[in-house]
Amino acid sequence: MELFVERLLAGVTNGSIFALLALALVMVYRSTGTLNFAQGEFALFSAFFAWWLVGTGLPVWAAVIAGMVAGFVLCAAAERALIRPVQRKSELATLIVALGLFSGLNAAVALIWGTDTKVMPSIVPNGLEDYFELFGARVYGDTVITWVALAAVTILMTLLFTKTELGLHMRAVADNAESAALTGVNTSRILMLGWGLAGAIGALAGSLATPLAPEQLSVTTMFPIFIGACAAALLGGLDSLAGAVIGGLIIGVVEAMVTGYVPLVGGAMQQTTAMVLIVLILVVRPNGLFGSKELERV
Amino acid sequence: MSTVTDRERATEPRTERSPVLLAEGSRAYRIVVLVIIAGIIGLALIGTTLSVYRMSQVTAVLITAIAVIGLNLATGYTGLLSIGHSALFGVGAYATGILILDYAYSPILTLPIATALGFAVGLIVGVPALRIRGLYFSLVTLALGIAFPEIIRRFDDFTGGAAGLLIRSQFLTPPSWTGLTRFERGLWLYGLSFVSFVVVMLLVRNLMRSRTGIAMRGVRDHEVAIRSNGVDVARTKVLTFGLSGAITGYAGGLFAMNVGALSPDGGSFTLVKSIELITAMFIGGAGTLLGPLIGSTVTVFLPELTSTWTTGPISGVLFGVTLIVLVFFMPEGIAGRLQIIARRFVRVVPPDHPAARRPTTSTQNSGGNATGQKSVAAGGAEQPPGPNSDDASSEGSSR
Amino acid sequence: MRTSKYGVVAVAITLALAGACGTNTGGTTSGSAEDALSSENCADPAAVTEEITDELVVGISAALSGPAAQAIGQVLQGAEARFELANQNGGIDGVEISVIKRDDGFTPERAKTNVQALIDQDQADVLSTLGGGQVDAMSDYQNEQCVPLLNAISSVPKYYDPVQFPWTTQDLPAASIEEAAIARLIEERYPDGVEVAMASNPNESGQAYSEAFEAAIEGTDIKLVKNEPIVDPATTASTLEATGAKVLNIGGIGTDCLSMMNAIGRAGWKPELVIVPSNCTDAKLVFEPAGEAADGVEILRWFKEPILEEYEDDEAVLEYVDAVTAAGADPKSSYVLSGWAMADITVNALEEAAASDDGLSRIGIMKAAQSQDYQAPLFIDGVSFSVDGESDPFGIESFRPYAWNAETKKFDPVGEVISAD
Repeated sequence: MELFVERLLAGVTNGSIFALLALALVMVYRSTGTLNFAQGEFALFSAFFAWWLVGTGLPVWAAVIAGMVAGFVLCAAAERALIRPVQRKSELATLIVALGLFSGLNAAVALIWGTDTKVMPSIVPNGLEDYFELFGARVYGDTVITWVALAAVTILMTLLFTKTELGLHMRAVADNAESAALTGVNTSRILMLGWGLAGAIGALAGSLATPLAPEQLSVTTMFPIFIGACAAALLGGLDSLAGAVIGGLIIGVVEAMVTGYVPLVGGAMQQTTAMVLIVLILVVRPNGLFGSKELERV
Repeated sequence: MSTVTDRERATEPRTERSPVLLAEGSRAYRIVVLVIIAGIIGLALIGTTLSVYRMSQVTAVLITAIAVIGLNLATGYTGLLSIGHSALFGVGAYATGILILDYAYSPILTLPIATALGFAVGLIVGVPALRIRGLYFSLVTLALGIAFPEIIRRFDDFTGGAAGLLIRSQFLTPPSWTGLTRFERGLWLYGLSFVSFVVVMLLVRNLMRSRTGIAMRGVRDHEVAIRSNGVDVARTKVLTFGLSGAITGYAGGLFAMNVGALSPDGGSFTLVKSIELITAMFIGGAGTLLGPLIGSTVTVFLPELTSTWTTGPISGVLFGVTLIVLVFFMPEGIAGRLQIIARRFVRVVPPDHPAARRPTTSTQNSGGNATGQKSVAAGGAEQPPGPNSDDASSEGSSR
Repeated sequence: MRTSKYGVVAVAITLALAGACGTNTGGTTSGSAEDALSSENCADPAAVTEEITDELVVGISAALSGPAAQAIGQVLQGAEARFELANQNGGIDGVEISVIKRDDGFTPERAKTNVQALIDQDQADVLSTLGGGQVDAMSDYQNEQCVPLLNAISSVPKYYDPVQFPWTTQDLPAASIEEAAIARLIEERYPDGVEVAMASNPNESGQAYSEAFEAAIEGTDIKLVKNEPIVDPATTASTLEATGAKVLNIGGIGTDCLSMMNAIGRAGWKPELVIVPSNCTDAKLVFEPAGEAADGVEILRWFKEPILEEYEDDEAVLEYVDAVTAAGADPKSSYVLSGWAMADITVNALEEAAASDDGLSRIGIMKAAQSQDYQAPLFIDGVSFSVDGESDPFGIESFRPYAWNAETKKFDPVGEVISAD
């Protein structure tokens, strides 16, 4: 029982991180219809920024918020200056800009802060004694905070989209940007806002993930998380917030369970197993678990 | 050269000068083709005079270019964005490596098997494309890209696992008919890669002019429309991915022979490789014939170039910036842009093209600007009158 | 996967039946190391025996860009500081050493082109590199051209073999040697046998450690109850904790050690003995970030280092600190030290070659490098770098165990020097 709970919790925690970054991907997809290949590196940049602020003496929570602001500004600016001009050209062009951002941001992080491993302190106390027990398994504050953050972001996003005028406008732009513009919605602002929110959520994911990541905070920290998040977003359906959350949790838990309980496959084939499962699900549901039916332009 | 897409036509700058029309099958056309062939042979021969190191770099460019041609088939021409070609490259490389080391194959005979396995894996990955589309299909290819290194590590008694495979030079001696010793292996691989590249490029060129090629571009540009025209979209997609895998697998086989060290880590067969191939394809020009070669040249030589100015992360920043700048100013890639420029001066048309038979006087304005045209004109002047040579002969006489 | 193996076999058989199966001219070289180490099989035999008189070029292929660039930059700083010291002391018998570096971005393809460029264009007399993948990409060409690749900072089992790779040596202790010493250490602590759990990374290094440890405990009372790959450290830790093993042996590199120490700490698992491999040596990057979780974790060391209290005032250590500080490097960084050590052992081989009958030629250097018995000033007493052809291809074979003290942030010695023999 204890072992099972430990594995389950480890899976849920990893899954929460995937889900948070997947939410960022969904936000971007809903505004500009692209998969932002640089989302993980935006998060990396923000997390390094937050780490640097902590070094200057700022409290961790303030540094994380500042990192989210930085992520917001960075992503919104990237949308306006780099993505929008090429978006009409082709999907591939947009993807390449994102790849350029991916490589450029990663190298910029290395240039500014160096490539050695940093330790990003957690927003909550995470010493060896800061835990409580759940069915015999130890649960630490820095894992709980990822669940809380995921829940909070999900609720806030849902409220934003269902209860506010801004959210209504965002949905209108996501459905059909041109007709939204005709009805007086400031499309340009909405698109930047979509990307900005994605950047902020990504930054949060990055700051919460690094104290838990095997390599702590280094230039390679976010890539595996980004791959997990991509899989999560696509599994859930690229335009579905709920899908991103559920997709992320499924992937996290499946990976943990496969490692633990399928000895033949074991840890060595963890990701392969998860990916094969996703492909099988997609064969049955080609637009993900909760994605809208026709995403492709005709 | 006939890979005109709607997008390219739209971005083509309007010019007052009309291009010289070159009818396929005409004598002028044939002479241009001969000049190109002579140029290719010339280039190949110049390559043999390079130092071991430079020659090996050119070999690396050619091998990458073949892999990118494979990717281009699926992504550039057919619009199936693949992030998993690193695995297809790896399938070919490991097939060659394992056959040489465990089954005592002579290296060149492993290439057909590398190709066949690449084709098979490509087909298998292509099958989900029947139902899964767009970015979701890219996830399928991503799955392949992620799975490959894990599979190599897991089945280590077969693949060498994480420790990798090392194919030593005594296994890579050039065939005896070449008369080359094992120390001249670089020359042999250069020649093999060069010939392979040219053959693959010609095959793809012919394929893209065939019915299948037209269907492939149709899948990319207007899937619904061509489906209603009776094109079997499903078959086209699966077949394309199979062919794409075959070509990239072949390149992988050559890679194994060239580098000799295969490992699931180190970036040869990981997503890093996929990104490199996509980048090369885009820089060169997606959906163009020469794009893969140009893009591969850039991706192989650019890092070396930047590392002579600077070391460390700045080169990475430069790379990212270059990529973005390129998308802004040359979204059709280098080959795509060259094609547009070239089309201002010379345009190849089918033999029965009406314009090809109509003598034009406006060509005069642009006459003599490009060396290519001179040869066209000279060729045309000697040519006896014929139904297809009007434009060329009129060009000649107007001078 | 099994099926696809048969698939390959099926295709292979089909081709063989079609009469297409090729002949293979290659075979494994047999004979002794001395036979293997001759100029006969070289591409240019004359160049191999030619004495180096003007300048000795050390060509290094390394990742000067990418994620590992900073660490590798420090390694190179250390190496260059040591070569510089040799030059200040009059060079190798009057021959100055110069270093040429080429960036391989940690990819085998570029390492392969680099080795060709270093040999053909830069006229390197001696090569070196970092990382097993890089050695793999370089070894074949460099052996064919008979240019020594000395003291590569790696520990790939197949390169401790002067018969197959007469022109290649590595300066890190082989995984087999280190794990044998670890097995010895465990035996000392648990004379009646004990159950051991192992966590190893799924890469080349982890595979080497696993295989070596399994081989080392054969015939002992040590029982390996489970060997889990480090994919998700938390899951690995809880799986291994469930075995109830008293000893945890971690086979991985830098961040693997950090993440596993963190993970077992958080799982609340307190094995009596936790051992990490020597490559996880860096206090600042591996042990300090792990905080409490790293307390008492043991590691085998063989250098007198500025971070070890008992050697702070050692003469050799002071000389090292002065030299690398003058070069702008951090003397407390384990990377700088490892670069220095590589160059130090290389310089010793060069000096011995210069004094030998073959002189400072490539063959002379290689013969010296294959029969070296070097008690480096920076080695802990009782440790030496001794190799002797095929009978003893392993350099470092003795270690002293240290335990990390999380409170003082220092390593304390926990026993005498252990030999792997």
